[in-house]
Amino acid sequence: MRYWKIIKIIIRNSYTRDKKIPGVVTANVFSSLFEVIITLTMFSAIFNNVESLSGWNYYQVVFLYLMMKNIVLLNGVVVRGGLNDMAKEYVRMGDYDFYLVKPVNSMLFVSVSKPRFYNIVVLMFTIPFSIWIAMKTGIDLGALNILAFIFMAFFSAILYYFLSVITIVPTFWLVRLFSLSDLMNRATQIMRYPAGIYSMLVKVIFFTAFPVLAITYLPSWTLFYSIKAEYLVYMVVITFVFGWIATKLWNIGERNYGSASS
Amino acid sequence: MIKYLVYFKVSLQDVYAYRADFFLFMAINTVFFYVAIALWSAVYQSTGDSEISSYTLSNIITYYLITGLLFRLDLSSSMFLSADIWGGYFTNDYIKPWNIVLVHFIIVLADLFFGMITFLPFFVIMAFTSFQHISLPTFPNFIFFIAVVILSLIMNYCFNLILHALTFHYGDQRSQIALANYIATFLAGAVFPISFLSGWVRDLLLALPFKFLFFTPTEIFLNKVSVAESQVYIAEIAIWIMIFFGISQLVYRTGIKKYSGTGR
Repeated sequence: MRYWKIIKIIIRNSYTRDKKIPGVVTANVFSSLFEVIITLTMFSAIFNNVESLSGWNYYQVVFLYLMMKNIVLLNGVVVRGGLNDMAKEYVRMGDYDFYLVKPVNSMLFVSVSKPRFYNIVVLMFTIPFSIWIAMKTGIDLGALNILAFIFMAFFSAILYYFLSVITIVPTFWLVRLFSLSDLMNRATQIMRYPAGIYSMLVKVIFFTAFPVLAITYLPSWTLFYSIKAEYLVYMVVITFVFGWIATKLWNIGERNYGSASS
Repeated sequence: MIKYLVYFKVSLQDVYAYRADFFLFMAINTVFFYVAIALWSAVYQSTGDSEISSYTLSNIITYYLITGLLFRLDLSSSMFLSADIWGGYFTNDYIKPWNIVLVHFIIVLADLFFGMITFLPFFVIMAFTSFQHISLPTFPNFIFFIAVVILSLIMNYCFNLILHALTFHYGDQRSQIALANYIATFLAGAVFPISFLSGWVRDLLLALPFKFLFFTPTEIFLNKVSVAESQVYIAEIAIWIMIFFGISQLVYRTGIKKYSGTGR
């Protein structure tokens, strides 16, 4: 109940804040949409010369990219703003006190503290576009595949959040490393292409140690090809494992926090 | 002159305080290069052709290596004139006996210089790990590459001066400036070579001045541009610098009349 109250206040604050900065909101929405256009142009240039990329056709590759985009945007709506501020300001300025003294989970509270609802505007374009692209792939999508995909996409979004937390946790020790907030953005470069383009070593690392490839590739593979139980189980297991790691690291980092003197 | 040198030194000391942050930023930016190698290697493997739009695999890998370097000259996150005008800090610059346009250019140069220094180790690693694919320029082309890079930096500064000076007239422009620079980066061929496009889109991008930020210098580095063509490009950039500087001065001089010490 108290979480619901907090969320309601945060949503109201976010709406009031965004209403006052229409220029920022419009520019962010445009740059996000523009990135989609740039990437589609690049894919068109590539697929003018090849029929498939590591066995994936144009529409499948675009779908994979949109899958990445949707997960990043969804995280942007809910948690990205709070985590960015954590990496840039909260520990350095001592503002983390505000979150630490409340009788709620501080990791969750910080994460949801700065929602960016304007990302929903972009999602309203990218989600229907993803559905249209999936239908254009020429692959007969079974109902079970779609259900398995939705199940895995749900865990993907949560896994992306936990990995985002892990990337900013060092801020408890390295208070002036603003670039930590950019680490996950760079990881999205890896998530947007079929896993087949990478070497075996890269695949092993990004499917297990820091599983950003699993976030987009496994759900998309499940949608287009046969459902593999081991993929479903793996997705659930790594989400819980990285959730546990993220929480543990956060708690360890928190012990190192000494207000503005950090 | 000495006061500007001192200002450069002070600006450099200022950015030095954030050295670890610079270092991490440069390190994580190498991801784009390695992903590009993986992507384009797979594309060339699939097509079976040795060239795509006159680019070999070596050309395209060199393209991303050089654009990775040119990205360090992106001044969008090093220029704070707009924020100063908006916040009222511009008064500090305005009352001092110096050229404000030059002072902000010095701040940008210090930031870019430090960024370039911290990027160098990573650039060497990137070049070393892909050395079998790297195409080197001829000596004249290398000289023209350096000249075009320096001139295009000045051109980009003048272009950004216009955007920043608009703050005098229309208030906070930071997100619009970020968006304009983001779009300009794509139009400049930073994501992939403009040659890969076709039709009117390619013609349009080649007619715009932004190509001088990424595409043209890299083409010169790849020896795809002759010395005679390079000379024409340098003349073109000089003209664009004059145009952008002229417009920026117009916007700046008319705007400064609207400035009050409390910001805009």
